Amino acid sequence: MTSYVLGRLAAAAGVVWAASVAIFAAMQLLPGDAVDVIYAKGAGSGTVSPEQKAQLRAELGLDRPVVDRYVDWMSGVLRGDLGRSLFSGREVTEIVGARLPNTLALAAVAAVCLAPLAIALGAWAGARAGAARDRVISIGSVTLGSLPEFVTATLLIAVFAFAWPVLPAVSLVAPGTSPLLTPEVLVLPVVTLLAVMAPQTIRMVRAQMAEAMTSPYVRMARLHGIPERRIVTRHALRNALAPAMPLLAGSITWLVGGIVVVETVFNYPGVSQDLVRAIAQRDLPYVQSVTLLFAVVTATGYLAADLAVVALAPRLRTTPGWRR
Amino acid sequence: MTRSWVTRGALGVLGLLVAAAIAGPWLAPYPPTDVVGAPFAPPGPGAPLGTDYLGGDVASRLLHGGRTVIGLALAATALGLFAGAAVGVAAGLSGRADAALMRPIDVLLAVPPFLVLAVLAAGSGRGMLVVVGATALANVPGIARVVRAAVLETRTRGYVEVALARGESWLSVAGRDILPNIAATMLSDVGSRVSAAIAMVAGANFLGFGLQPPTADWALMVAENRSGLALQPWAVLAPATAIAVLTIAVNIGGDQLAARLRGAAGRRRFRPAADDVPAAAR
Amino acid sequence: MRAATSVPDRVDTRPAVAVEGLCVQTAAGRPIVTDVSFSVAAGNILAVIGESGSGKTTTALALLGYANPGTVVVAGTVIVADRVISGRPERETRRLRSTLVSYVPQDPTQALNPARRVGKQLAEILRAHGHRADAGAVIGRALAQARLPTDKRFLRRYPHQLSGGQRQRVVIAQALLLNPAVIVLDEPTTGLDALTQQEVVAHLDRLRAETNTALVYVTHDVAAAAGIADQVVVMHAGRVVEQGDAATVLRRPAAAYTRGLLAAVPDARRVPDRPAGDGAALVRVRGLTAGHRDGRRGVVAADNIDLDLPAHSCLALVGESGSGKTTIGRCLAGLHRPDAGALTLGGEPLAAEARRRTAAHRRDIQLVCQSPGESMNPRRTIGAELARVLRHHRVAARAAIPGRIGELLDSVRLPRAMADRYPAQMSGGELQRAAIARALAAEPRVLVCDEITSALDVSVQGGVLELLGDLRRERGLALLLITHDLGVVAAVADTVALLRHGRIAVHGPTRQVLHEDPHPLVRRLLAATPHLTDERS
Repeated sequence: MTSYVLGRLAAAAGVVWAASVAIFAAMQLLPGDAVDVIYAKGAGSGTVSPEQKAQLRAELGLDRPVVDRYVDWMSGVLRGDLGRSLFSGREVTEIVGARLPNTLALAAVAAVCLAPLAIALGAWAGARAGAARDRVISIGSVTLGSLPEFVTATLLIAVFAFAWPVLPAVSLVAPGTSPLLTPEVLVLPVVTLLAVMAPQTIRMVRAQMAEAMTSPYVRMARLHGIPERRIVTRHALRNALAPAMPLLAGSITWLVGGIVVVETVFNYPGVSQDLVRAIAQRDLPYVQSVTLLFAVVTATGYLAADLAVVALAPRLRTTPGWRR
Repeated sequence: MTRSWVTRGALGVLGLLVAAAIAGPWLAPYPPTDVVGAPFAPPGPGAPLGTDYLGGDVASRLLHGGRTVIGLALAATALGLFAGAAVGVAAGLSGRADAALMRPIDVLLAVPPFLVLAVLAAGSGRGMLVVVGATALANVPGIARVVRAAVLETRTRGYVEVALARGESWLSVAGRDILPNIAATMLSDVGSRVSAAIAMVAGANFLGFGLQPPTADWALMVAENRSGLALQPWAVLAPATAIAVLTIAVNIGGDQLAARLRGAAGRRRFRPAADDVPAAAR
Repeated sequence: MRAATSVPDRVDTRPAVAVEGLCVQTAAGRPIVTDVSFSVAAGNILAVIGESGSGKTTTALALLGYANPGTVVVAGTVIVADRVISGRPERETRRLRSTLVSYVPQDPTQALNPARRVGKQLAEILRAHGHRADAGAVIGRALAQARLPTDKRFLRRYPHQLSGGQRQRVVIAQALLLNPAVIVLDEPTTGLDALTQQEVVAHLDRLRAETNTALVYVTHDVAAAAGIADQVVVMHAGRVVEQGDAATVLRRPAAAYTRGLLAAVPDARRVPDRPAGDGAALVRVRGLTAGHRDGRRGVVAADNIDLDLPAHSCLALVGESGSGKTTIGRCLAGLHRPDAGALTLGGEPLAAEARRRTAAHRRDIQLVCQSPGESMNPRRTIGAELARVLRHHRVAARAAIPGRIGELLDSVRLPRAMADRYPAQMSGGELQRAAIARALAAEPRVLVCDEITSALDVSVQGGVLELLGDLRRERGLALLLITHDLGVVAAVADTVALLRHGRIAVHGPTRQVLHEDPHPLVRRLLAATPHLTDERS
């Protein structure tokens, strides 16, 4: 058990490390570096001499070997120093720090609503595969789950902010306060995220549940005269959830992209607007650090799901190395 | 039957949309970049869906803007399928390739596709290729894992072993015995993959990482005209609805295709036939 | 239509189970079980014997008022201990299950919920039927009757922490909990090795004596049924072909089907006098050692094996699962690289891997694999598969291929029209014949047959074994037959090599090994193998 948890921790750390290398490599090795970006942005790029560029490279430390720069960056990250934005010159931690709590609040509310909603609907549909309620939920989730986030968000705004104005189209949060204090600004963003992410999880739980309901142990429980209700809750659901858990964690990977779009559509004061701007302007130090931050959040989500699986599937708890 | 009715509807709508996207540029009354009136003018005789933020004809831009959505998504899915299948087959057949390829694939699976897009767009600049590449890359790990598992399962089958013992080459065995038997598995979720690719490509264009104005593209149209949602809702709702209907039709149509493929594979499973009469009783 | 044989003697005045005119159909109206009637007295064992598709499991489930999804009981009554089970709403039948009649499933590993502790899975049955107060004592009694430990630690285990035998006894304990009048056992011994099978049967026999419960024993294994049943019902294609007293039905069967079934059962004790192949060895195996890698550990599957396979003879490799017999066959076919040892074919050395062998060597040794579902490519017709072999080995000119395919199908006794069939359109027996035809297409000298009949019904198996014998005579093939079934060995093999833990434990002519001078190990296996000539006293 302990070795399993430690193993998963090591795996999560490995993923984060690999992500940091990949991010750094993409930023530094793809054509065009920060200096080109700065001069391309700045006035009169045509008049810049190679000497000026070389000087700026030396100032920014870009003339040093790639491995050294990676080590510098990582040791900074580990100390809590994410570097400076190329454009505003401010500390990345400062820019992100002010808005990160808002993003985390949105993500947390969405994630907390997602799991119970998706599991309940998926299990309810899967317990009676082929019944009317199953068809309605299946077709409904295929329909909602197909839409890109910005389309769902736009349609929701058109309906609930303009046609029937009950909710704000723009998420105004006064600086220094939390969106949790003005829950109405969270409703449409959270509903958008749920509409996009829940369907995948619902379909997964539904499929696992439907399979569990046809399993030999469920048939056996029926032949033992166990009431149907208990069969669903005690026998099928538990076995259906274990395989669905990693996939539930997988939906975190979509949450990251979803939040960026949703924050953009609703002008929500999170980190995304800065991030989108930074990507467009190729503010490399900023993008590099924030994407790494996102990778850490994702890996933590996976880890949590892995540990949930261990709690649900006793096989894992008692037989080490069962997975491979 | 509700099912077949839904399927037929989805396939019909899909056919219509694809036809409109392909033929659209010839049907459109104006070139996509022409200014035909005041910005955000409501629908009128000259512009059936009104005008956009620059005064362009929404209907004409709508007819021009479907090709990119469908084309880029199809290209990304095809690229992802091809790369994923290549990785999966190689990993399934060779232990050395397995060790070398699957570790990075596992890592890639845990990385949000948006981050891949963000890193590529920041690292090499915005553009169509970046969007297609990131979307294809997002598809690779899932496909590679499914294909690898199917190859590993298929290669222990008696007919594969017998063919190898006969001295047939790996290429011949892969082509005759392995690929035909894993094709159904590989294509079973192609509908939801194309639909997800449309969503991702459109999302990237919406955020401004891919196509740039003044290109006519449904996702870009939504982004450009968002500020006029109260003034001229058609400029936003028309392209948004087009994307919505397209993704839903692709997903439902693809689901049914998958069910049919699974059914076909299921029917091919071994079952005892009635003519197994005891030999001694004959 | 009921068979007109004698109704079993009713020593007890009322039967524990009475089934009258049972008919079950699919939702589409295809009959699965038609007009089945029988009865069992308390303390008696009734064996329901049938091959796959006979409707025996459907009948067994109907005794619990259960129909598999997609099937409907359309007529008939089931009475257990004077209570009508059939035709009630699900809510009521649910209460009768476990209390009046309980069920022991075929595969206990799958029937136990992997996520719940053993104790919970027992207690829950009591709870579902309203017994709460004395649960501990009742569970203790049932576990003791099932010969399982009764301590707390055992109850806290999960199914995967138990051995296969323990899992089997847990499902038996579940069935015993509420002292039902009848226990239905669905193939309880299938998949077990001969020695374990014998234990289970002996245990069941003791149980019915202790509890006076009636047992309905559903099986495809005629010999296993013969060892334990008081009465027998033989089913075929959803109907009862014959029923009555076990001794009468199995010794003087009235129905032609039963006679055929009995004749097809291979009996390890009936070894026809066959000369051991005494010609020069066609295949010679010397010092063969081969292993698998299981994670980081290496497992030796075959350890220093010496074997000779003379031309025109049949050598059987026998052993339980994991004894290394399949690995040896795969080494011979060039699919498994041995760690040490030498193989020769007709005096010439054989390369380890198939692709390094000469084309002639690859033709000479052909392999037929175990499962009919996996031996043929589901996406290719039989004809295409045969043509592929003919082309690959350049056995026939292009124009002659269709004719050759017809001849090959003739030689395995399949109709020529089967060339256009896909595997899914064929039965298990037909598929194995097609797989043999594919092997014959290469015109080999040696055929390696790996458990090719173990997935087949006994009557179909008889036909395939007969075919192998014919081919040997007609074509002078040498056969290496890999099997776990001593009955199959007795039916076809000239010589036998018995493997145990990767080594040859016994080697010699079949008649001598099985009959004249059995090794202690063979003696034990033979004693445990159920057979028809033995009589219950």
